[in-house]
Amino acid sequence: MKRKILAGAAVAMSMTIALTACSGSSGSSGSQSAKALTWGMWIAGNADQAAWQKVADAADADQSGLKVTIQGAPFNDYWTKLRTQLSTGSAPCIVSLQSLRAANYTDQLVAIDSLAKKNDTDLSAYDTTALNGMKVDGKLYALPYDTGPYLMFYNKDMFEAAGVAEPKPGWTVSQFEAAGAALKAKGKTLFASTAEDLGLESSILAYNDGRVISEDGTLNATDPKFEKGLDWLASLVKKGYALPASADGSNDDNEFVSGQAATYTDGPWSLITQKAKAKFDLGVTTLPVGDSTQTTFSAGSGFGISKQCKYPDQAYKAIVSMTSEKTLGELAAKGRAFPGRTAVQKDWFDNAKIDGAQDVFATALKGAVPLPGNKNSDQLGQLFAQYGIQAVNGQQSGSQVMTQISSQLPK
Amino acid sequence: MTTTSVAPPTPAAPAAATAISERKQDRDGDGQGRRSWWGFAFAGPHTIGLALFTVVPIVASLVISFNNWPLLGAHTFVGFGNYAQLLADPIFRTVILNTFLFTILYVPLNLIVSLGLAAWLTPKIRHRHIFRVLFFIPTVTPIVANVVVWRMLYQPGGAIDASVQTVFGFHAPNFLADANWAMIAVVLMSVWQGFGYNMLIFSAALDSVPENLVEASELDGAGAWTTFWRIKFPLISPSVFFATMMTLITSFQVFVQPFILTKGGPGSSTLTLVQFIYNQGFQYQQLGLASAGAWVLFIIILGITAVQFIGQKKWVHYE
Repeated sequence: MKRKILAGAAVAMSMTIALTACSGSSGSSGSQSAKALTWGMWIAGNADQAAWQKVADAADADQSGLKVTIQGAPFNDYWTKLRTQLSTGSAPCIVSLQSLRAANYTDQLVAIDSLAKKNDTDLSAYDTTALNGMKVDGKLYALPYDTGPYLMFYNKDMFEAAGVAEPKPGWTVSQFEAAGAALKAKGKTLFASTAEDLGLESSILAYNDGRVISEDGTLNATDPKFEKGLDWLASLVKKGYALPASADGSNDDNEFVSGQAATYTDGPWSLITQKAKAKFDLGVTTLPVGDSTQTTFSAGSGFGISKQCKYPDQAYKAIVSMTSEKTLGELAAKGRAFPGRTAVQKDWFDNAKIDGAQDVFATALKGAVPLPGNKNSDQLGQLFAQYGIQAVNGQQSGSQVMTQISSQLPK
Repeated sequence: MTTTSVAPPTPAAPAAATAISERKQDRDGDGQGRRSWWGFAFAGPHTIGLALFTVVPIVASLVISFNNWPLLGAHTFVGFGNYAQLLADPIFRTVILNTFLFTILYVPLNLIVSLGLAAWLTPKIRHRHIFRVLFFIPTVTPIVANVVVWRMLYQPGGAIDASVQTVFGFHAPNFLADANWAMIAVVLMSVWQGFGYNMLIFSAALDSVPENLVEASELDGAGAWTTFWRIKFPLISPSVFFATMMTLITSFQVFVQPFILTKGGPGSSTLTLVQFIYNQGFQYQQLGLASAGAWVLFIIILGITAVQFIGQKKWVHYE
């Protein structure tokens, strides 16, 4: 009889062990050692994965025996995943950060100023705008790998077919609207609207200096200028110069690539992918400027170190390798990212092979200001997707929409 | 939307245990203690699983709901503060109304479509198994993929807009960006996605209606309509009750469709309770508020289910 009990207990035990083993394995991704570092990165597909693997390999090569492993997630899910990982203590050692979101994570990140000093890193070799974007309250939280002003991409073929002169860097809102009228006369649409935060905020900054996040990073959701800017975007839709916006952030990209609209706004980090996708001649220019002095936001991304990383020294050396001139030069030569180091920015232009891109960047950067981060910028982004489309599509006025948005943001 | 199937607890395991212990009892005569041990052994894995993956999270979420619990950083006890904040929040009220609106539109539509198709798919229909498979496909394909395809159909310049323009010469409404249309668009997509499961249940139940009863009613001069409502429907009423309840529960938990089609917009016109919970938890990092919202949802579903169980006595016939 005893034996039966034992057998029964053994069955129960083994099943329990099998069960707990299932649950236990998922937590092990957070394990770290000095030789094995994890790196959280947004990955858009196989080509992306391969390119970033090269970056991880570069870090491995510089420190003998080191192995950097990528934990990939699509861009939008990356932030949800990162927050969850940070709260459960399973965050990767090296985290990828976007300049405008850096402020959301500073209490979970290592300020790397002292590490930079200790390792004699020459920070002046990095692009100043890019480096400043990674600073919060004067402390540096990441080494930038890319940067860039928000720009306008256009379909050269559509402009030509409509008999409209190609936009020159620094073109104005009235030239933009004139092009809209000319394209409309030919049955075409000029602009693919968006309700994405970076797109809305940049277009309106260039239109009339209106902004929802002020220079010191505080929220000002009921800025009357920004509301007027939304009304201007709505007027483009109303006049038939622009397609209506969608809650889906990639909608404007798709409309542009499929030839439904002649222009849309995006960052230089998308330029090469879009050029490869488009079946037409793709051009790039600055955002149409209205009554404003600041003509676009610049944003960039970089690599930082989470406080949960037990080996910040190794991780720091890894991110230096990952943003070295050689690595960024290779990324630039493949057109992945407009480099955060000035010395290799030329490689990117050589690869992009887009006429006048260098002029466009120079003009754009002259009027560009970094988009400051704010702890509620993710919430703002969600609210723009919900409410922003109502303003852009003209169902509600800019001020009605911004009043609703601001009532849902913390005071 | 996940479809939870309520399977009756299988008596196989305890029965086997009893059988073994009874056999032993014949031999050495003290089976009592052994029988309970075997019971524990077999129930153990399931009990531990239930405790680990259901009871612990439920208790944890209740605890979190009484705290101001940001995703990152320290938490503080606030008692019923989160619940008070939710009830005072106009957006939360909109969200509750939206969820009820979705349910009121979705559940009857789903039942009408699934019951109608199941009634049509009698054994007299040739190749009816092909139709069954066709109608069931939307339910078994991944919902995210379905929703993405529907988003393309709904968009301006998409299939619906293009067809309307060709046939009638004007543009279809911008379904997903128009506050008047967005909820209807979400409901229609959900009905298409969800009716297959109920249809299969109804179809199986209708097949098991005894042929002689149907024949008897036909001999008495009842038409197809009367036969269906007077004979078949009462006989399949337990299945209809089961399907109604499961559909109600899943429709209160609707998330993927509005999340991908509209992100809850335009404005808050399609923001449902589960998406509100998701936003609070993972976008705005307020786990306390999110947990409190989840408990409000739990109480709503519990209440509705209780009402259903009380109401079933009036129309569900168990033989």
